[in-house]
Amino acid sequence: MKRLVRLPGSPARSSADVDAELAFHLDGRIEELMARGMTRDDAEREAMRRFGDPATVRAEMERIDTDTRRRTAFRERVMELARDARFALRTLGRRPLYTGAILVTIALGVGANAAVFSAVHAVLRKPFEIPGIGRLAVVRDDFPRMGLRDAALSPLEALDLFDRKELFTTATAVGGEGATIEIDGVPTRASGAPTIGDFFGTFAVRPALGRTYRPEDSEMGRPRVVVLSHRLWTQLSADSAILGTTLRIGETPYEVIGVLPASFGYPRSALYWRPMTLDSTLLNQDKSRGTLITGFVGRMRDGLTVERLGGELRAIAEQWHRQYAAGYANVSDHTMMARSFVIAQAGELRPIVTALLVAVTLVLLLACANVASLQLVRAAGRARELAVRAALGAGRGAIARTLLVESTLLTVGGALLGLVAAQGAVRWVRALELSRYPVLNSLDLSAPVLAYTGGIAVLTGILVGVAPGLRAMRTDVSAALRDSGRGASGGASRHRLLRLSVVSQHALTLLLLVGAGLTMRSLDRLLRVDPGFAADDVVAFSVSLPQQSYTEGGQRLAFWRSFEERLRAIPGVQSVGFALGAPFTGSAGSTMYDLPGVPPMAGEPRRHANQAFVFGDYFRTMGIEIVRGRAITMADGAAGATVVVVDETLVRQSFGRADPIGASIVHGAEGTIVGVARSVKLADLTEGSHPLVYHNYGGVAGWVGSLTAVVRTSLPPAFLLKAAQRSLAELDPSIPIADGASLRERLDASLGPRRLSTRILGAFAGMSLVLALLGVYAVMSHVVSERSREIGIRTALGAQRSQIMAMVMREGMTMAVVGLAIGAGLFAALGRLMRALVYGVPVFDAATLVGASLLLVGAALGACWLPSRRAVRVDPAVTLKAD
Amino acid sequence: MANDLDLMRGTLDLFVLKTLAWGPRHGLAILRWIETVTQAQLQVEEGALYPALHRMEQKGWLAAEWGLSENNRRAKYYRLTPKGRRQYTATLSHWQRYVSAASLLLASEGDA
Repeated sequence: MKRLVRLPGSPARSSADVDAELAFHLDGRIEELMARGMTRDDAEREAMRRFGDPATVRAEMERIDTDTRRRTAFRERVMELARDARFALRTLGRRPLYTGAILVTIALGVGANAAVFSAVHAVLRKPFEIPGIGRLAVVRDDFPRMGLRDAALSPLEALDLFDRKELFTTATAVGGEGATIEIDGVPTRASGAPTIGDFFGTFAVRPALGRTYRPEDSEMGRPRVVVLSHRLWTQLSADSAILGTTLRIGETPYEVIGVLPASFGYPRSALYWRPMTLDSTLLNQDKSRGTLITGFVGRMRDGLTVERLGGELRAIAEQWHRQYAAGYANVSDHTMMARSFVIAQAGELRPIVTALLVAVTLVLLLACANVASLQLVRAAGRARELAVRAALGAGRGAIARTLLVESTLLTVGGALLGLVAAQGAVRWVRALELSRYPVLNSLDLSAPVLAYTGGIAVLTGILVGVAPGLRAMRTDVSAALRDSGRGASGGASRHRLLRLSVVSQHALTLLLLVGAGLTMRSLDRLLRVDPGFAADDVVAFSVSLPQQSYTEGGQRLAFWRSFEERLRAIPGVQSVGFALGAPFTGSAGSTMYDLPGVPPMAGEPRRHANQAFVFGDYFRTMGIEIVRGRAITMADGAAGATVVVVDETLVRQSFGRADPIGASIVHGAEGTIVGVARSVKLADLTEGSHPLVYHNYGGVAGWVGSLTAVVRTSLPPAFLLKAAQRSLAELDPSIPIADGASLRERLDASLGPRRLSTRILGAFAGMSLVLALLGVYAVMSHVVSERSREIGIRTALGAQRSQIMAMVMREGMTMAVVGLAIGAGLFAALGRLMRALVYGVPVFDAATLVGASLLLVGAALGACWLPSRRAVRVDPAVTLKAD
Repeated sequence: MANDLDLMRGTLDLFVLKTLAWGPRHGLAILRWIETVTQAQLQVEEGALYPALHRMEQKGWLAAEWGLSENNRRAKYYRLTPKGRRQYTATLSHWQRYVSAASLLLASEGDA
């Protein structure tokens, strides 16, 4: 067949062709002109004149030819690929089981990665669409010896840092507050962020509507202005006419001057931002340097790192202690630390996300190893086919390409299936509605996630495609054809690869099993942690009294008294208490305490305690046991200002075996210890114990306007909350009930991320176990069928069934055990990544390791047993005749 | 005499297609045929012909192969591909419409 299109072959050939073509033309012309009587010289000149400049023409022709060559080559390659793809599809279609197994394996690996990466993306990046987010640093106060770590800064400290222009180009400090805002006529609790410094400049956020305020707006006497979140704006009106209107936050009127875009969400729960007014109290250097109410965020100057910033901050703290000795009189161990904003925001989700990322990478590696081993087994089966193709003239490159196209198709197909699976997983996580982590509710498969998945898929394709491809390149044609067709040449090296793959699958599976086992055991330990209170049948909700209508302490006390009576009157309510600082309802802060007359014991830590203000039948309602003395009760009333209950931790730390009852304590105010309560977990089941002081709210009600009501009841929480709202409305319809939930729900919510990571790790470990077992099964089946001749001979020579079985089992179990050993070694190296996820058990927990190993060995035994049964059934008469 | 008519590239393509519609020819033969038929009134700049031929080959309108010329020398022969034949028909009808429209315009009176 003539292939005219391909005439311009190599560049050299094409150049010679152009020369020949032009020479033919000019020679022809010259001869023609000479035939008409011209001299040779004249004819040459005339021919050249008619032709023009040969050099230009030549150059253009070569340019066109080069282009043609390139296009032709490209078209041929595409056609070749299409041919290969059609061929591969036919080949794969003939083996639906093999194809299906590989597709599902890749889908699991890629899908798990896509899902986890979407979580990583949501947790670490997405909530903050902030330009240059990497330059933002968070500064925190730190009191290591008091056990007060990672604390907010005082506004005075923040103001000092604002002046450090050599560290921060812009900076801000953000407080938090809750206030009642009327939305559609319903008073609703809203959280807001009073800010000082250049909040909007630091976060580089521009208003979607109107304008923002400036640092100077924090000075006394400035007009009160507020910037709304997009969410609050849509709840209020979603109309630009809102600008200039007055919004009452609590009782204070503010002028609405702007709305931020929906993409901005810092602090996450903030519905509005306003300048924090710096009054004379906040600016008192002697009294307010310890008022730790603002989170500091600064944009670091170029060249400054978080590490260097940390060093600078420690020096600055030292300088402050000298400069403001009175302000830091009560604390001896104050210092400051810096952290990157992104890391600080990911918070407690970060270690989980990191562990999941490692786990999901292991799953992917395992899936790749699995697919590679399936392909190797398959390659053995088709070695003859490939050898025939090679003998018929297909180049090694062509054969390798066929295999590569095949694995590309498998990878792409698997990756697409994986995305579908990931979509399902993401829906599932969203359906869990982890209310504490709203960031997880916004999971989706966004563009970066898709890009990441694409990258993963390409990597997978290379990992699973290259090994078989390379092996095919080395296929020895004559050996493969000579062979009986079942064993290919290079059997030894293939077996090595297969063993390697099975061993690594076991190692990876062990890692995942141990990881999942550890999180499960931790969760189990956590569920058994005694929080110190009886969480069941207690509903908690918070109520805030408007400051301007309840100015007097007596007024507030009267309100709580009558509210308590009404709550108690609800049928089904057993007891009612109130507190600021009840467990899992938010902190009431902490203060140093002093015990006049009680000298510090040897090795006693700094006397620093959390605090709570309680009112009514709090201890009985919460089920907090009073181990000595008595509880604070309603009877203590306003007169019992000095009545204090401390917890066991404080007694253990400061009294030892001595009797604390009757001792006087200075904790904010001076009081007398009347009782000792069991220690409770305040915010997290994993927290260590820290002293806690209970104050009698009745005696100090002058300044606390907001309490959490706790109600012990057999009523369903929703029902109780409705009844409580009705009782409240009878007293004062302008006050909303906020944060209503049972204590059990709150405890469960605090375990949400752990439950989630346990489930995910468990799912990963289960998946890997199945994959690894499939791998062992496939490989051992292959080994048995390859050695059926040998087995036949052995049987013919009188080997016992049990001996044959033992031989096969031994080979399979050796791989499993070697894999276990490697996996255990890997875990020794990677285990510390688990530390943040593990509670109550050591990271290197022998029970978990042994349990996981036994599970894996048991499963591997099963996976080897089936092929070994087949080996026993080998009929020597058949296998020996087969050749 | 209109023997200095400038040939635009598109027109040259059409001429080449027309010429090759009679059968395969090498470049020189194409030029000679154009000279003969137009009685040497159309002067083609000969150097421009060859790039045009290669370009049409790239587009798949022409196919080329080496053969022996009348006087037994190696020459590159071009022939129309089916795609080139379709192109010829399309260009020709386009050209004819253009020429008749142009003649109508040029033949018209100033205030028709």
